[in-house]
Amino acid sequence: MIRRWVAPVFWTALLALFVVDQTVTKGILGMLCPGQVNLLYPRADLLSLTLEHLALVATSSALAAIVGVGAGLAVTRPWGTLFRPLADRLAAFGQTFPPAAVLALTIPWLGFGFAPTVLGLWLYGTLPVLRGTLVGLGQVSVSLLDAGRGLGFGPLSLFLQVEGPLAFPYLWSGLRSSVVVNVGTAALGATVGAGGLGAPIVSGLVTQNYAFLLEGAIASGLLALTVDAWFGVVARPNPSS
Amino acid sequence: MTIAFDEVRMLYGSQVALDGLTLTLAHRELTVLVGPSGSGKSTLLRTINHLVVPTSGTVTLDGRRVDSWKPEDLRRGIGYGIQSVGLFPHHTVGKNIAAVPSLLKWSRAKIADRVEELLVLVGLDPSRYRDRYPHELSGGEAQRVGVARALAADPPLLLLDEPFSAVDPVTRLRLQGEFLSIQKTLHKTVVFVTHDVDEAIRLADRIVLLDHGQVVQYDTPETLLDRPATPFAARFLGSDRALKRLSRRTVAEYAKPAPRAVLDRGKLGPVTGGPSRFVWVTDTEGRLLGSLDTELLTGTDPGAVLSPAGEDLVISRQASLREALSVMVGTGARALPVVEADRLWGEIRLHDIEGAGQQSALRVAEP
Repeated sequence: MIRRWVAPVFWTALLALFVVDQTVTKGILGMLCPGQVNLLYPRADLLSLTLEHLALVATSSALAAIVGVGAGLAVTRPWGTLFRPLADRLAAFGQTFPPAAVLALTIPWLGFGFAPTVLGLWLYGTLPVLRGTLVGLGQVSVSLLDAGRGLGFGPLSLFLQVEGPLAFPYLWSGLRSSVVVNVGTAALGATVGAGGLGAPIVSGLVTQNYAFLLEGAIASGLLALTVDAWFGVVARPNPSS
Repeated sequence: MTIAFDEVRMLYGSQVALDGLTLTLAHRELTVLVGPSGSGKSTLLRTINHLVVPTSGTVTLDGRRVDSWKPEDLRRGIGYGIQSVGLFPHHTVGKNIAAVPSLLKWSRAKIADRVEELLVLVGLDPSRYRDRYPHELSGGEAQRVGVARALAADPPLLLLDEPFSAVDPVTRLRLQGEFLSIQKTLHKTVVFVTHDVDEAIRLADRIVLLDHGQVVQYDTPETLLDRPATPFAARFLGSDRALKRLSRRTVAEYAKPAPRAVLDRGKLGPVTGGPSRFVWVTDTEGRLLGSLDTELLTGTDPGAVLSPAGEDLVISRQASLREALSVMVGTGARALPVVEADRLWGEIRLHDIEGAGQQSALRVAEP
């Protein structure tokens, strides 16, 4: 049981050390970029950039989870099956779409800043969740649900006790990859003025200051690993697999 | 519980699954629905617990229409078992069996007691099986758990849809035997679907033979075998109907006392159980040693003329006449020793089996 907590606690500690303690940040960046005088991105401290980044990811992923799971459930209920083929195609199509393109497409509507970034991340993040939900619900065998109904499960208890728990591992891994990918993609938000850990990266690229670039890149990398590790605490394989 | 179908029609699009079917199934009987695939047997079963809603016609349980219940309440009062795939893979054996009692909100202690009782009933050791997951069970064990789950809330009516179809033939025979003995003590009203004629004949009090959504014949297995109502029924039951009839009869019913003698320290005792040229020889405990032709007995050493009894030349009391006949045909023997728990119990003769095959026409007159 304790083993499950090792990875998330480790990555969280590492992230906190790098992000909160400026002497550590400076020390590491100084080692990686010898001779660089301006090691830290000056316009905002790393902690607030990280929190900004998290806010982007949390908002967009929460929306993605609600819409993805909701749509997945809706099209697998008897009254929603009409839209099932559309959902299947969207879910497959989403995997082939580059995230930067989503951002580029949303700017004309919403201008610059937080809102278009969240919208872009939301749209991009919804599809893996939808896919995971559909796969998860799809692998629950029809005769199992028939047995449940025959034993006297109502629609809600059948969902809560049989269909849901059996679909959950697939849904969860869809959500997990959606959120982790969003942590990386959210860095692109800086190009449209949304701030976050993309800001030092973009600034570093523009000014050719690789310390800035690494400051943002290391932090967002650690953030992705941390988030992924926390998802891993819940994800357990089904006993049947 | 009496189940009545009245003019039940079920259409899937333009396809007729049940064609205006009227039938009443008797209280506390084990009725087997049998027929070729597409004959409507599963559909008919599923109208009883309202998993299938007929296009027209009514289904009643003890006079009350099944659609007058809330479906969940109706189903919680009816045991339902399907092939082993119906076990919830993410629940333990105990939790699977507890499904309906939990829905009925029984107390935790009462559920635990019931699970234990049912596992014992279906022949699984509770301490070993309660906490296993379905994927850790053999096919036969999973089927037993399926039956236990169907029985969990002690429903008066049990619906079983091909419950033994996913196991090998040997296990299936054993499960059928166990199920019959459970049914002998519980006396539920059971409706059982199978496509296996032999299974139907072995288990049924009465068989409903279906074809194209209609009842071809509703009769006891004996009547069905003796007097199939239509050419289809005769074809479906097969040309080995006389043999199938024998599978309904046990050796114990037709065995006679065996001419026997005890062999004790090289000396043969007196022959009991009637005069006979051939006698069965046992030790002093009654264990079968072999058979002996008394005309070859010169008086010196009976052991020298004793032909030892091989395992394949012995038949158990509980075996069916069909099995006994099969041993006789296979070995050329015209009589077999019948044993119970290793001891010689009697003998069964080819002649008696032939009689059984022919006289069953008379037996159907019995209630």
